Amino acid sequence: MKAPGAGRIEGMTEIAGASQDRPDGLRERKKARTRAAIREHALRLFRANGYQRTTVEQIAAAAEVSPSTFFRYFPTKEDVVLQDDMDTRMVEALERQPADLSPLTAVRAAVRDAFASYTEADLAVIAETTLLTMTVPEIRARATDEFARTIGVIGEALAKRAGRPADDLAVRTAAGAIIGVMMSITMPWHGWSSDMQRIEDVFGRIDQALALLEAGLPL
Amino acid sequence: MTQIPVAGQDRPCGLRERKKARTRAAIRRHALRLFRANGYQRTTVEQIAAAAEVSPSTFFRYFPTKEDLILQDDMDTQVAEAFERQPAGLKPAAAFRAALREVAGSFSQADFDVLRETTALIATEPEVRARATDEFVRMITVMSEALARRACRPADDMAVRTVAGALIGVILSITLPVDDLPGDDQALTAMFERLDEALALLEAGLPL
Repeated sequence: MKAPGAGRIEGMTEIAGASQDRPDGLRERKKARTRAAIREHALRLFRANGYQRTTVEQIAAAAEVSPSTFFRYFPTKEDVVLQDDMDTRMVEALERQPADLSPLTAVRAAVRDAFASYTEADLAVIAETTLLTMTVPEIRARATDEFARTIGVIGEALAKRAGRPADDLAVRTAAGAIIGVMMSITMPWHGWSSDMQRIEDVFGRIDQALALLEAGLPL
Repeated sequence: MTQIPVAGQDRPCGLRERKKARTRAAIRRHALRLFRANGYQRTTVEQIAAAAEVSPSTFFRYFPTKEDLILQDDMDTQVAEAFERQPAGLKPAAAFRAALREVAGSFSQADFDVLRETTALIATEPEVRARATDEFVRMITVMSEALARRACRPADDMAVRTVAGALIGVILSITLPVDDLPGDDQALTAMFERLDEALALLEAGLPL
C-alpha cells in the first residue's frame, strides 16, 4: 500500500477500539471525500480536455487542493485512473465476511458485495477509467505496478483473516490466483465498452470465475 | 522428441522452424549485448538488425516492438510445449508445475544470464514495463490455448481461461514485486523454487 494506505493506518490510531482500517472515523471520512473529489474533477477534466493535456496542477486547482496534497492521495496522474478503490471496497467487504467461510468463499462473497454496492455513477466511472486504461499508453504502463499493488493489498487482507504474515507464500499465492482470474476476465480489453449491460456481464463472469477457483479449478 | 513432426502444432520441429528459432535467438543475443554496451534506450532496432545480419523488417517479423524482445523470452512457449507433453492424468496445476520444472531444469548458464538480464530490464525500463501489461494478456492466451488442447475444449471456454488466469496470476505474484529482483543465480534459483512451491499450493486448492 502506498500513501493512502499509510494514511488509513495513521487515522486508525485515533479511533479507540477500531481494529480495522475502515474509513469510519471523521478524519477518514474527510479523506475519502477529498480522494473522491480529486478523482471526480480529474475525470471531468480528462473528458473536457483529454488525458494528456490535463495537468496535475489543473486537477488540484479544480478539486481545491494543493498539488502536494494531490500527490499524497495519488502518487502519479495515472494512479487517479488506475486506483479505482475497488480493492479497498473488496478488502472492507472481506473483513465483514463470517470468519468460518473459507478464504476463497469469503473473497467471492466480498466481490459480490462490492459489486452490489456500486451505484450507476460508480459504474460510469469504471467504464470511463477502463476505457482510459485501454487507450492511454502511460496508464497502461503504470498498470503493471497496479497489479503488483493490488496483489499486495488482497494478500494483506487474506493474511489478516488467516492470522498469517502478509509475506506468507500461501497468502501471496492465493492473492495472485484471485487477481489472475479477474485479469483473465477483464483484460481482453478489446471487448470493453462503456455499455452498462457489458459491465454487469463482466461482473457476472468474474463471479463465475471465482466460483471455479473456489471449486479447485475443475477442467 | 523435437524431431518428430506433430501435425497441428507450431513446435519448432521442422527444418524451417529450427532456422526461425535460431534467427530469433540471434536477434535477442545481439540486442542484449548492445543494451549492455550502450543502454536500452540508446540502442535502435536498426542497430540490432544490423548486428544480427537481418533487415529491420525481418526484425519486426520476429518481434513487433523493441520491448517485445525483452518480454517474449520464449519461456512461455517452452512451458506451454512441455505442459502439453505431461501425462493426461495430471491436473492442470500439477502439469504446469511439472512443465516449469522441466523447462527451468533444462536452462543453461547462458539462459540464466539472459533471464536475469531481461528481468532487470522489465523492472527498470518504463517502456518495457508498459508493454508488460499486454504481455500478461498474451501469456494468459498462450496458456488458454495449451489448456484447451489438453482438455479438448475451446480456448475461450470460461473454465479454461480461469485456469490460465490463476496460473499466470500465481506467477506474477512471485515475479512482479520489483524489490526482490534476482541479482544472481542463487536468487534466480530461489525464485524458481518459490514458483514451484506456489504452484504446489495452487494444485492443493490454495489452502490458507
